[in-house]
Amino acid sequence: MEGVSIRLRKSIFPLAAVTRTCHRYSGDFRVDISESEDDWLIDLLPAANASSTETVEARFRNDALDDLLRLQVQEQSRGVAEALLRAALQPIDGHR
Amino acid sequence: MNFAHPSEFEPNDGYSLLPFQFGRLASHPDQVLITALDGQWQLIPSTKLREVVDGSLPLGDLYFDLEARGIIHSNGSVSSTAPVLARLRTRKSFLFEGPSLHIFVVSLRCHHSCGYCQVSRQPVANDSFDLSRANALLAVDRLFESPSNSLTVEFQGGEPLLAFERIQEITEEIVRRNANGAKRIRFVVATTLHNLSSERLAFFRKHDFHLSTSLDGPAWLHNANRPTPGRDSYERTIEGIEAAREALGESRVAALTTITAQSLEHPIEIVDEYVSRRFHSIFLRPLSPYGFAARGALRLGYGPERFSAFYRAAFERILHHNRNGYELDEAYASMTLGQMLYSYPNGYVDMRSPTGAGFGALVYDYDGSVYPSDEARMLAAMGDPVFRLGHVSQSIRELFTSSAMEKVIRGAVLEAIPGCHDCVFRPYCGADPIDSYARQGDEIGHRPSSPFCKRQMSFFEFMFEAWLGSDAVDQRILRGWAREGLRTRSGELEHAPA
Repeated sequence: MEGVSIRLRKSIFPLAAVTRTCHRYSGDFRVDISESEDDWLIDLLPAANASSTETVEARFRNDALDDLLRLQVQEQSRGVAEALLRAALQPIDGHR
Repeated sequence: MNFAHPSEFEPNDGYSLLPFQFGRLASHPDQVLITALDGQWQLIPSTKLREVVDGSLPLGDLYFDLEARGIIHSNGSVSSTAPVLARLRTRKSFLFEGPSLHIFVVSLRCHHSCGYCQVSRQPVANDSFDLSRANALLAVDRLFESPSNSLTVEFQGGEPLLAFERIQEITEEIVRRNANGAKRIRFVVATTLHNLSSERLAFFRKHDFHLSTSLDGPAWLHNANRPTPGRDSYERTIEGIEAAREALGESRVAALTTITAQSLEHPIEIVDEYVSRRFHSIFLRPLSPYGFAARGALRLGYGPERFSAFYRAAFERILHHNRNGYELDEAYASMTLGQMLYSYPNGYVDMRSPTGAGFGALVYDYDGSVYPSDEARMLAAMGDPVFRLGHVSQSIRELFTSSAMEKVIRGAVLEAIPGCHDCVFRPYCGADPIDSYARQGDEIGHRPSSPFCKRQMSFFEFMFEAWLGSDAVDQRILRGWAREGLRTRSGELEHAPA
């Protein structure tokens, strides 16, 4: 089965978002990330048991957009997430 | 006295995002599922997601729904994160308790020769595979070192009733040491129920035991899965169930089913068997990659897709019985629905993050070895004792500072595992470093290629699909399951007997 090559604009997608999406596909594909001056270049080579690659590029691009949003959520909420977890896991009197 | 105008209480300084995950459900292609840190959730139109993240969502129903569920919070004094904090603290409160499930493997002996047996069974006559009295007493010392005020003591095997005297000794020692009633202690035995007698039942009644057995379906399937020399495993288990119910009461006897490749073709027959035997709960448990199950994988095993198809058919059959007035829940669904609909801690150690292994449970093996979970013990029985914490003669502190426990901890927290930390189903799932290691050779594991992860994802998606697609009648049924799932069921559901 043939591989799929995808370009994503560096000005839009930070590496952290791209690697997240690549990780999602690393079960069904061998994933390779390289770069040009303006783009991330992603090569997906199907594993032996991978299903059709027909829609994979479209799915990958949608997933990359989702991962971009996830990164934004994480960055905006990191401080409060840490504070909430610290407070939630803090023992208080009468409760070990 | 004049009240201020309602607009005075409306947020007017924008909002901030609280931590959340999101994902998409195949059953709702135009919507996005958002789950908050504490498991609260909201389905929103896909077109609204960017607005939410960008901070441009206007005041309105969706805004207030998201705020109520701890997904956003209004800036300024009108909003507070206190409810989120309270719910999160409640959900994780099991962490303050320490290990509350203590499993005593009193013998590896068993009269069955199940193809999928999860332990290394030994012949009935070979009592060198029984837990010694000395090690049993040391294990009781460890039990009382646990800070938890509520403990479950589970006896397991092999077939634990083949070492009934040891069960008696351990139980009586625990009762003697807890004479002041400082701890609430619940006794469970996971047994085939083949070796019951009126004296044994009287002992179980005296100490308020719960009996957990295995029933794999109708006679032909159960006997095919669980061969005995007399080919009568089913008949003897049924006989044991009825005797135990008569002696202890119906609610004291629970059953689980292990799903083999042969079971996959018979979801309706399996569910109907539970109804005909008057059970009100069934746990459709897939095979684990351990013990004989690992060696028999080609013959007995199956992929997550086949299990998923089986589960959906069985689930529909269970609902069918409920709609017709017979109450029956599927235990894993109930626990998941409980986590989806309410903010309470999960009593089931397999569905926790940080992991229930060690943090929620300890296993005392027949030879005095201590493990953080039954799966870790099975792995050791397969020749890899990597998760052996130590020996019962060591203190809990020593066991918990062992290198084996450090290895558990590396894969213990879903919130820190690649592929899990931003998974929309994370609040309902459990970290299982031992399973990851058993399947993939690494305690953190690789989620995109993990069959366990595929099965879990498919299951949680199905749970949302079932809840969101249900009418008023089914929703009432499922809400009843959710309440049932909140009951602490550790011990009852941990393990089936061999």
